Amino acid sequence: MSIIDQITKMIGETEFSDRVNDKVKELSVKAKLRKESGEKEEECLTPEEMKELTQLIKADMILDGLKVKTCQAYLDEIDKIIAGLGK
Amino acid sequence: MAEKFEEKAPEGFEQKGSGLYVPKEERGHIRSEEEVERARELIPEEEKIESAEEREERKEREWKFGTRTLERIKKMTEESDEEKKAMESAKIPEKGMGTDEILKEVGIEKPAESLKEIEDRLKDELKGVRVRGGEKPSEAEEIERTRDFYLKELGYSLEYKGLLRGKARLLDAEGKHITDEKDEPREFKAFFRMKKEKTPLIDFLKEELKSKFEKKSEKAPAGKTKEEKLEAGFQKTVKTAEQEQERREEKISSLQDVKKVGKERLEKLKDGLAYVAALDKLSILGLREGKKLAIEGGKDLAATGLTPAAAVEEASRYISGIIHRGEARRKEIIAMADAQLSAEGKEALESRTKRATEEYKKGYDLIYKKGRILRLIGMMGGKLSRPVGRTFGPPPPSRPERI
Repeated sequence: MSIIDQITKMIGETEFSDRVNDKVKELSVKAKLRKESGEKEEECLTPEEMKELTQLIKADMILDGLKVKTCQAYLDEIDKIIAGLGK
Repeated sequence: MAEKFEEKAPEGFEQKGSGLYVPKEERGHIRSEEEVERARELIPEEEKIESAEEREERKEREWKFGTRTLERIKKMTEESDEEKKAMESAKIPEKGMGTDEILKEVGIEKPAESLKEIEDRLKDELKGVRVRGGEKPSEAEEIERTRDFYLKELGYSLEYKGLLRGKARLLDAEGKHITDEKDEPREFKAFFRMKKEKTPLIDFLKEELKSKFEKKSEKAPAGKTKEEKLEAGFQKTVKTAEQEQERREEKISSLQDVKKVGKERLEKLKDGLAYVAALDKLSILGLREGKKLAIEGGKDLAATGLTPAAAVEEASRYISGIIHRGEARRKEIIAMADAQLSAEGKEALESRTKRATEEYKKGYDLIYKKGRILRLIGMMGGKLSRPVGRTFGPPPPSRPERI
């Protein structure tokens, strides 16, 4: 499987936040269509498009990271309370 | 010649005939609920007058939760406001974060290569706890965190024993007992109060780690790729989260029913549960923990139109919605405080932690998948003449720039 196929497949299977979802999927579909119309793999996305895609995915990773950190902080608080209740 | 005097309506009024002014807003106009709400938002907080409903809610809260919980919530809100202000004025780095940096900051780290690396990570973690909470943890807390850190590194867990759960047996990553020379399960004292107290459990865990690394260097491990190491780190994080949730549920189920305890303990239980219920003000938790990540990733976040503070708030609101999914929260809070530690209270406590753990694992999974997509994009970017970003592994010399 080519790199572009792998990227579009993984993007299709991954959940993105509403803030970036449409744009990420749009770029992914664009790349796939260009590949199907015979473009070279490295030309399926322009450098600008690739840069945009990278930045959007990174931003979404940071948002996921913030969610994870909030969950962890919540669970830590609960653990402290449970430990206090058990004493 | 005298200048002609021009009558002018005062600001906010309009002229309705000679010398007659009326407010611009027509008399008899009844304001809609939205207009009233907008107008209320403009009133400074200290000058606001409680509505009948708000007053009733406040009284009910005071009665149910007691002063201590309300003070904690107030402190939490004040802390949140200060954190927000600090974040708004924080300097955002000019460069975005690298994928490895995001993964590391979130907690998906490649497994440590040596005992020294583990010791350094432990030092950082204990230092971080102090900074995050603002208060120095107690000696007992520090010991507990050290114990949990080593357990996590080894993939081990504890099986508590005894009526007061003061003893524990060690379970390995497969859930099997760690045994001694006589093939009996090893048993240790599980809790400690002071640093000077001997901690055989921690000493044992440290020795286990040491021998693990010694064995590893003898065997000269097959060269795992960086991605494989990261995957191992990711799997370990998820597994640890699952084990922690199991332990949490076990602890919740072993909590005593308040009906069997005295008045003082009953108050403590009620206060603790009310605080759990009030933890819906999650933004402070997100602000406390996610501040560094949001500021350092501020440039990337800008692509979504979010400032670091707004990103933390949005993430916290999302998590709050998941934890309280499908619940009439206020009613549930009261029911929980009423139920105290009956079956209903325990169930509420357990379901909240379950949802938070599920969301935590899902978040890690998404971060890991997105990290892999970025790696592929980076590989494709390598074929281009212009750099597109750094992903896993060191950047090739031809594209040192980081986006």
